[in-house]
Amino acid sequence: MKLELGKVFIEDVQFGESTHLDGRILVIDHAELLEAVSGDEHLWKIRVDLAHPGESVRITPVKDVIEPRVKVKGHGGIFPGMLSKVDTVGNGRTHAMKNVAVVTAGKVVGFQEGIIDMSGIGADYTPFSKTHNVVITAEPKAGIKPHDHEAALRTLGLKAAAYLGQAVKDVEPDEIKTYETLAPREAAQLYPELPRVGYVYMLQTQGLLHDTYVYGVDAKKIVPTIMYPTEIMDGAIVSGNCVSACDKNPTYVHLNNPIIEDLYEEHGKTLNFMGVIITNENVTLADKERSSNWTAKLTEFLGLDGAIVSQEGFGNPDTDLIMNCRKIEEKGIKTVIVTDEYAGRDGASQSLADADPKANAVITNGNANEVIVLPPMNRLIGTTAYVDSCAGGFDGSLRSDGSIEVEIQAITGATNETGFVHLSADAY
Amino acid sequence: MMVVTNNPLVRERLPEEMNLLWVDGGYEDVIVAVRNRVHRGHRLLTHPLAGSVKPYETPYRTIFLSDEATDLHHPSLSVLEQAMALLNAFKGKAGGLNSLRTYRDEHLPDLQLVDYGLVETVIQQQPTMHQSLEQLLREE
Amino acid sequence: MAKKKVVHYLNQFFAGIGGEEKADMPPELREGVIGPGMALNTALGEEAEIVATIVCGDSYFNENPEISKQKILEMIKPFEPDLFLAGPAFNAGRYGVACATVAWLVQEELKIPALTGMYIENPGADLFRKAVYIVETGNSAATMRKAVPGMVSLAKKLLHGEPIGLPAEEGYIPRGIRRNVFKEERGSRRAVNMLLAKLKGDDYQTEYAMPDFDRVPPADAVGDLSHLKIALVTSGGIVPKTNPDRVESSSASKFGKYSIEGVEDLTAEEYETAHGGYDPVYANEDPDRVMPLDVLRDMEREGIIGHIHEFFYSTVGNGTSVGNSRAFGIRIGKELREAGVDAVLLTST
Repeated sequence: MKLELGKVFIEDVQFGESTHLDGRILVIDHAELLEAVSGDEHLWKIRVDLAHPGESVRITPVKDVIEPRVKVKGHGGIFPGMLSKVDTVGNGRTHAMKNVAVVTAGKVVGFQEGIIDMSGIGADYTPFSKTHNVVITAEPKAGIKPHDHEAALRTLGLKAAAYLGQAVKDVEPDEIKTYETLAPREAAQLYPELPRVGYVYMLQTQGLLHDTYVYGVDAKKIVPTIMYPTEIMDGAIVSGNCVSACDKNPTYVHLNNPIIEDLYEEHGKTLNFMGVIITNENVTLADKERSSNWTAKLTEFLGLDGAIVSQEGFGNPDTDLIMNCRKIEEKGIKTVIVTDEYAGRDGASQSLADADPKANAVITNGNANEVIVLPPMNRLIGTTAYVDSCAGGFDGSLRSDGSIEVEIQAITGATNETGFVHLSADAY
Repeated sequence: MMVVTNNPLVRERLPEEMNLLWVDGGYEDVIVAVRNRVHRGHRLLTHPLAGSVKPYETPYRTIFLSDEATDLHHPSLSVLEQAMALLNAFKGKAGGLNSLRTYRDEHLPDLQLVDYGLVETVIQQQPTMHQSLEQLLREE
Repeated sequence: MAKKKVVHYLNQFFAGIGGEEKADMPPELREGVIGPGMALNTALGEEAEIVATIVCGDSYFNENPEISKQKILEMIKPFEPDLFLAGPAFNAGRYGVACATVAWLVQEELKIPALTGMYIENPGADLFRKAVYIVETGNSAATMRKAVPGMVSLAKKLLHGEPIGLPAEEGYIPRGIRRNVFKEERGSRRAVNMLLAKLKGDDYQTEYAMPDFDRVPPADAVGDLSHLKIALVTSGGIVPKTNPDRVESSSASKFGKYSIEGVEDLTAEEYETAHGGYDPVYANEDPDRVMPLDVLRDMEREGIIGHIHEFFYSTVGNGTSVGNSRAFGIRIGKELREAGVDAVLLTST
């Protein structure tokens, strides 16, 4: 399967008459965008704000971040099973609007997540301070259940990203990258001398506010399966995960999964990238055993020599991560696992909730318990009413001058476990 | 299947035929109650940590155990001890999870819902699944 | 600028007072510099000087920990030092534990930066590496000359409140403290690089080392004991009365091997514990409480076990180095195997 990913680099986003591209400026028709995303019976008072890199703006509580994309050629449409039909995507051509993100924000339940600061020290910790953000907030109607509210907000964000994506459909991209993955037999023949490498992509799937969707299917209901990496670039995996802002994978990260990108970068040079195995993170131990047995089985089935395993979330998924690692290693397949740490504010505690000597190659994306002070911002999108109660926030964290003392786990994407950012931790 | 919980919403919504072990206490009390039963030979059916929720972000916890008690089940004990070690690590020098507490009383109903939401599928599968769930672990 | 003040801690041996025969001396305060303090003081140069030295016997410290700690803190306090140095202790187990304990106390109680140095296998390092800076030294006092510059360079940084770098750069034993850092390459790229290295069999450095798994998988159950020869081995220090082999009460350098041919019961008249790390009253009242020979003899008579091996082995696990313990285990295991022992009952304290 072959996908041409055309990137259109945007330098500014403004409101204006009609939604279109003016050179490198994205102009958004405010009313038309609202029209495109509205229609959900559960939400009202939908609001759109813009936040630009370097501005004194704080966005919180952030729910999801999504890159605008549009399918130009090939089967299906963007976000299959969610917005588009369930055609298998990942071939043909897709355009991505770079440097722009749709951010959905708003309260779903009492404990709330996610801060994006567009400037100051907090901006160093979130990858989404570098994008021009189109922030959509909405109020739930009275009596709406959290499940429905989460689903409505999720759909709102996807619709906005798909709507904005249309603006780059007929534009000649600044850069086109071609990604191709063959079926296992041909793929193995293509570079017989290179080690065959796969990516085991763990998805948080435990229930309310902890879900991920694959072609519209709630991924807790799947057994691990194999995907072409390009399917994921077309939005086959969508986040419904609202918990653990620092190390959940927003839809933006699924679309731009850096492990997939970096494995493609080496594909045909130093390794042979065979494909992606998606798996879930379950509630019951029997499900964890089954899923990890399957991932190990599929790595063997693909004839892999090596695999990278990435985690999503905190605590309970550590067990899935270690089970996957151990069982894949037991097949004689070399693994590297990608995770983050909760080593306490002083960095002195045990970092993971599980461990195994076979996990001897670990990439860490930092200690999520590190405390920083976010300076006050001139403008607030959303509300800080929940900062005290967001993960990593704690009593009194919102100070009278508007600064916030938080653990970096409150910051969206700070310790992302696909290695999306540069943060790591050293042992002193 | 034995349901160990301190979550009123789980108690309220639990089908009558399920074996409820009510814990009148906090998150750690639930973990300790579960540990005591694991020591007596019950097996963990669900992971002791809740989704991605940190132990100081909610006072509620619901964990499923086998009704049947056999010899000490080492995998269960091992998972549990790891979870307890993490719990203790979070206590820090202050010695309590409360010092890290991130929620307010007004959020308690929501937190009950989130805890319930994390085990809902297990409860719903119960009529068809619980036998096999226990058997699956027993046959290891 | 006035020189900063440093207080130094030494044991009786390094203070030049005497060997094991003086190990029971209580803490004493000496003005000025003694023994290895000279070299440290010289290296500290113009910036700081050792104003006082505290000397304490290793046995005294280990056997009277509470009094020792209290006295030592009281001695240090009036000097209001800017830094506390202990050792270096090299591979001396009790000395290492004392150095690290005192350094930790000074740091926690007096809020004064503290530093010690020792060999990585010293039990003091194992106990306190997370809590205090311990400069890694060689395993004997012959390496003193090499140890001094490392300790002094870290000491100067602590005196000035300068940030302390990575263990490999500064020469201290890793404390396991996790500190965030932005790396040149993003995590995914580092993961790909690490996997390529692992596939090629090249060296790579994991970014998070799993906890130390120095575990021995339990042996399979032996099943029917009725025809087996069972031996008793203990680290609880049970020895014939008067401890004929002088197994040390702590930091043991040896184990004892004793016949129990014809012995039915370990009585208070004939056996005792040599262990200095727990309250010995109950063990001395009835040594079977540590090593249950009486019950095993019953089982032997009842035919539950075949028979009990003629010798038992005993040592003390109080500050005994991992290296020594491993060596004891290998030697004892070899002898037991040669004697045709089928299974061992290993009791601790």
